[in-house]
Amino acid sequence: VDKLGKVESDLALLNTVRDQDELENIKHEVLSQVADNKKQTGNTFETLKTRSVGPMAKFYGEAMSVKGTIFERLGAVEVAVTETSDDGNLFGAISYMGGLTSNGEFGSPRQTQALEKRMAEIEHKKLELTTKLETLKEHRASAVANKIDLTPQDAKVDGLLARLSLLEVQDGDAIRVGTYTFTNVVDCEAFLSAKVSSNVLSAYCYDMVSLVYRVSNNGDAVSTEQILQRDYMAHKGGLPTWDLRTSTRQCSRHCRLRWQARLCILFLE
Amino acid sequence: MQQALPAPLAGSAVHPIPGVKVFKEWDGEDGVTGKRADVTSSIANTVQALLSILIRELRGHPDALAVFQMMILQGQIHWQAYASFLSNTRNVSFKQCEDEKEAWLYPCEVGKGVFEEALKVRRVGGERSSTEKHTLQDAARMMWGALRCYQLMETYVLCGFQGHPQLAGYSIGHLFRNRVTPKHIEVVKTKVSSI
Repeated sequence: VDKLGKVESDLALLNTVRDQDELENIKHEVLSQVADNKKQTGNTFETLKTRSVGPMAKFYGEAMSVKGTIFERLGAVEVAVTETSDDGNLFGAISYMGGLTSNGEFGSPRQTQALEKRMAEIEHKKLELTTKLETLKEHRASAVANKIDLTPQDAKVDGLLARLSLLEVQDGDAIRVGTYTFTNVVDCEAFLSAKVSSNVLSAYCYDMVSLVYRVSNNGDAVSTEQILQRDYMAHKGGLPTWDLRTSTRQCSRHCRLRWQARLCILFLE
Repeated sequence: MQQALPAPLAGSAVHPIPGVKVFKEWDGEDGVTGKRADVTSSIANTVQALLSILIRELRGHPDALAVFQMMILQGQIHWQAYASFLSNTRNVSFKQCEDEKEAWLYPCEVGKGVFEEALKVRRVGGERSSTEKHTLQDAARMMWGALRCYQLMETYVLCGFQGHPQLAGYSIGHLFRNRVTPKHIEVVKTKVSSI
């Protein structure tokens, strides 16, 4: 019965085959697919060998070739794992791709460094652009100001301004000496207070009349040496510099007499 | 800052500038003799001495040094201009009127006016807040007086002295007293009445 049943099955199978050629084609397709799978598997193994097993074997060889204690070898392994590399070091390559970091967070040190570098470049560029923008704004402002300055004024206004400046000079309200302008006694006081030492004060505020006053009564020329000698003696007598002008009759009679008395005491000593 | 004419030009004689009553005393016209040469030489020595003292005293105060130096040097220039004005104007007047005395009197009238006007602006410097002490306020007043005189002399020199309105009164007064005769006055009166 078993044999009969097997024959019936084979006959049924034979009945399903319509053409012998079709069967041959299917057989060829199956065989070609098996050959493709074999080739693909070889390539996969080759890749696995060069990219993974090879570097791992190399790394293992290098790690194991280190002479020393087990702790030193473990140290070498640790260094190799944390090292960032893209050529030959498997762990370094993984780390470079962002899959392994020293503290387990996303992003490798190299990635972070690259990001920092990029941010610094962007910030620098931003600074440059901001500076350029400010410069352009200033140029625009100055251009407007120049236009305002160049606006032609009325001829009458020009004439009035010229007369005003002339009057300012003529009425003695503003006296200009060098770069300084004095308009009243307060200005002089501020100048002396800020620019002159206290022992000098107005000792050297000379005008033409003061200079003529320093000439001797008979008009004879006094030599420079004599003047310097007189100044030296006055200093030796303890007179402050501002008091030296008393000899030119600039001060009151009281001051002049005081100065002469001090000189007499000095000579007597 | 209490009197108009300084000592070398002052005196008791009745003259606008008693120190130099005649032109010969003022200018020997040789560049050496005369009060003009003496005073100019003395001022030059004084300026030289003052500048050397100034540099010593105001070491470390360049601003004050510059201002005081300029005032002193300008004062010397003003004197030279004033002296030249007196001599030149006298020579011009002498050519006009050929009167020795009157020719010298005219610049002296204007010259005296210069010192009188200077006294008006310098008087503020003579005020004192204390007889014992020279205060900063006193110094400021002296400086202000000197500066006003400096400014006044600048304008006088610029106008050639006799061209300045403030000195016009002195020159007109002198010309009216010395150059105008009664006959001239009668002519003017006639003309005015006819108008």
